[in-house]
Amino acid sequence: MTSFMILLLVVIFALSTGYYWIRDLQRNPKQDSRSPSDLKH
Amino acid sequence: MKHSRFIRVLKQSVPTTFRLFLGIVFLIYGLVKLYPGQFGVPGPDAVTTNGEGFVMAWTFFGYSRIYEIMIGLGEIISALLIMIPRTATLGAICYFPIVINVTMVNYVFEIGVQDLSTVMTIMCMILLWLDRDRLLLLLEKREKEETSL
Repeated sequence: MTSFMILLLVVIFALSTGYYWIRDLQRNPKQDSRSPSDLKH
Repeated sequence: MKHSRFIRVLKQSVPTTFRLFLGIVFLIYGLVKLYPGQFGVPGPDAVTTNGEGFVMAWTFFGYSRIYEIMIGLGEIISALLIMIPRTATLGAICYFPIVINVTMVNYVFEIGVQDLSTVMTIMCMILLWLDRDRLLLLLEKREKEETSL
């Protein structure tokens, strides 16, 4: 595979992952975040 | 149990990456076939550099300009369909036989871009596998219609 195609694939993956990551952050802002009470256990 | 954000995002971004990559590659190849044209009778030194199979395939495909345009249009239409989320399943269905044909031509005529076409075929197969529930619904509906007749 040519290096252009690999670069294209990497760029598309990075952009789409970034897009869906931001969208997920907006929809589930509290997911993956731990409160201090969780850390006490 | 809820998936972590990373897995959740990857489940969306990987199919999107495949769709856009497949679409862009076919769009490039399809547009090149329309203008200025990808095929044609290669020069006399092409046999030594690209091989006999390449010369034979390019001569065959380039014999008819209309045939080349039709191949290009098929690639462009399936590329547009696979890139639009709403028509992605239909696009994958249209895309699959074209990319299988391209891969077979690349292998049997030793064109030289077997790796790219193989990756594209695998990506299209994964997209069809991810859409298997919708595709199976088509078969299920037809079975019901057949039984009602």
